[in-house]
Amino acid sequence: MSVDAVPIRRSRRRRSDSWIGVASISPAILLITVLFVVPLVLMLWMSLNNWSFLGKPTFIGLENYVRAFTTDTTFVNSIVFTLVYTVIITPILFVGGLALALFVKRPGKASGLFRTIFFTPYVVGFAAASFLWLWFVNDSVGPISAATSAFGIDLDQTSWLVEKWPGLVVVITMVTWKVIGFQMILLLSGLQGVPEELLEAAAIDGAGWFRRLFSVILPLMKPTVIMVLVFSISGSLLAFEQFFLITTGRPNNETITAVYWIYNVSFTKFELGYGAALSVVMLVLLLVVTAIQLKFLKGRSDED
Amino acid sequence: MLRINRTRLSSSVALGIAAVSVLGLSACATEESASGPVELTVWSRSDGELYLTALAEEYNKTHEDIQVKPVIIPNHDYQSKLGNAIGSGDAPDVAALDDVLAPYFASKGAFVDITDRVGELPYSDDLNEAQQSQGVVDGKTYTVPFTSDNSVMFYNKNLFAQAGLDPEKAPETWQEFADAANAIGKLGPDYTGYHFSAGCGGCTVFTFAPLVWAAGGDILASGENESNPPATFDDPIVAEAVELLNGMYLNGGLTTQSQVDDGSNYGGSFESGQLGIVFSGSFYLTQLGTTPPDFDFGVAPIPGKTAGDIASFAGGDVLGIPEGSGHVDEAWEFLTWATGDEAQTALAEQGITPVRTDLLESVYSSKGPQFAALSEAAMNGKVPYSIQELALFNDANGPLVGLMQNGVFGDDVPAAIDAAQKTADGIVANAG
Repeated sequence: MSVDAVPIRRSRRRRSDSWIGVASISPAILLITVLFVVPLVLMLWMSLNNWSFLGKPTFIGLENYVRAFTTDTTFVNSIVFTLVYTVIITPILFVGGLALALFVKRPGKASGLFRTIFFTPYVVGFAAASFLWLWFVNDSVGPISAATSAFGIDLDQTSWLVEKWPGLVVVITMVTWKVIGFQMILLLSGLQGVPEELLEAAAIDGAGWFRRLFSVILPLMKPTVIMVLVFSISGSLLAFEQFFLITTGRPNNETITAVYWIYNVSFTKFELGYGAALSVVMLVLLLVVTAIQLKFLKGRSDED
Repeated sequence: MLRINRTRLSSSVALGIAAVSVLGLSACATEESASGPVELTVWSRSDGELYLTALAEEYNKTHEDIQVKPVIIPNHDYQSKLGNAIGSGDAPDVAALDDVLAPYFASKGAFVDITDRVGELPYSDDLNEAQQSQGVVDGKTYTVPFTSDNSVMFYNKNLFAQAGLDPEKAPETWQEFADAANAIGKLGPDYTGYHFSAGCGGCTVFTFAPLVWAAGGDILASGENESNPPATFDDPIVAEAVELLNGMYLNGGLTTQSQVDDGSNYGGSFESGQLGIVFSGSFYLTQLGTTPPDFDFGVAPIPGKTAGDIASFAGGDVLGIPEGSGHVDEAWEFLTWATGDEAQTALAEQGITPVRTDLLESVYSSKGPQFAALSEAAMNGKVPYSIQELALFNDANGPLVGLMQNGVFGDDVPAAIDAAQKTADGIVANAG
């Protein structure tokens, strides 16, 4: 049947289709408007005001944004620290998660057990996990101190929580323990989508283990890799509880993340307008980082 | 099958009843009908849960026309929840509030002006002065004191004796305090001299500020009712107090755990008998009374540089009637009752220091010498008056905690003082 033969019926159908389409996405549009667009517009407006918890806000234009990059050195430092943290933890989680996924992919009863073991910490909340690790490293009641002192070793565990890099190591260890199982599960689903025949063919062609991993497995699971990295990086850029509870910014607020500082400004200093401005900056940063990632990763797959 | 049906039936009946009663309730609320008692919602942070619940029960038994409904909110969420509630016109009828927050809330017009009503109270001149002035802005009164929690020194008499000190004589000067802590720290690896939660701003200001005040210094340049005074970390007495604690740290008199204690371990190892001295409040005396330790302890004022000089941080809660409360008169009824003899005596029985100085002797000091020491502290209490109290002193990422971290546990006190002063000046300048 030619297209021209039934132009009217077709367009009518299309019109009613589009009406049904709008109707079926309207709950989603409503939700997004109420939960995302309205708060976002309100936040943009707040960021242009001196807005305390109570009392009338006063319009101050872009002053909050100027302050964020001039007098408030803690904010810029917190962004740099957040990026450093993200740059360190992302490869650890990805490589570790992939290694675990490869490990538990092998069939056998034990792999189910290991999957469960590795995944279990993920169900613990960040706050609870942070408190658990604070107990681990506590130098008067924690198990590490109990174990080492049994051997007559006296570690300076207080320094783990008051110095910058030791504190960061404690946090990264905790986050790795907690999150790596989740990355493992995501990567495992990607791994399982790689056809065995291709791997066999590659092996027959003489490709070694590394060659198969980098030239067959990873390219084929690129969508999963992109998803895992976007999740992981944006999650790390939004890090808060682990530093709020474990390092509490020590020393000298050097281990404060951007979200931590936004929280502090908004709910300790009651400067909601300034907190909103910092949130807008953070939102832009997240958008830029995610866009770069998608462009970089997708661009590479286009070249393939 | 029958069971399922019955469950379904009963749950839909229950739903129906619930719906009808909700409708009924909202009708009551909007019509303000004369029938039935007025329900007053009273908000408190979770620290006040026990005594507020008990007081509400007591109040409801004796008042038919007004019924109090306590609402407990987690400590750390309290100021933001209350701020939001008042800001959005969804305020409770009465709010109990940490007295350090009163200047901020009062200056922002969050509470109803109760100047005249307070003036008419027969005991208006007997209310805890430090706490009473927290709720005064431009000569107008917005809050009344509710509970007192003053900082004092708790010391382990057994450890004092063990270290060759007189267990019946508490340290009366900075030097005696430091010497005692250092001596106890030298008793062995299991013993420590002094502990404070240096990672917790609220805990630090509660214990550190009195040392400064007792020696004649201050942490704020307090003017006449100025609501946003500059901080004075550069007061020479502050530097000396930091040096004192730093010296104790270097001589083993101050626990290393103090540096990372976020307040969750405020008693150090005092209760297990391994810590010589800790500064705490009336709640701690109650706690030690509930689970008595197996050693003798004394309670004494926090000392200054010369014997006889003492000071205390006047913590505790005040009560205010938030703007937007639909029951101002009834709320004032409750405030009158809560500051009255009956409620304050009931609080004293639970170990909480009364806010009425005329009652201190009869209902509190009479409970024993340890309570008498808290009464004495209450008469010598002081509290920072600033709309920026949280940001300046309570903030775990603020200048006071920074001063402790870098000054007491660091090696350059003057640099730590400079840094704290600079941060504090920025905070005061940004106050909105």
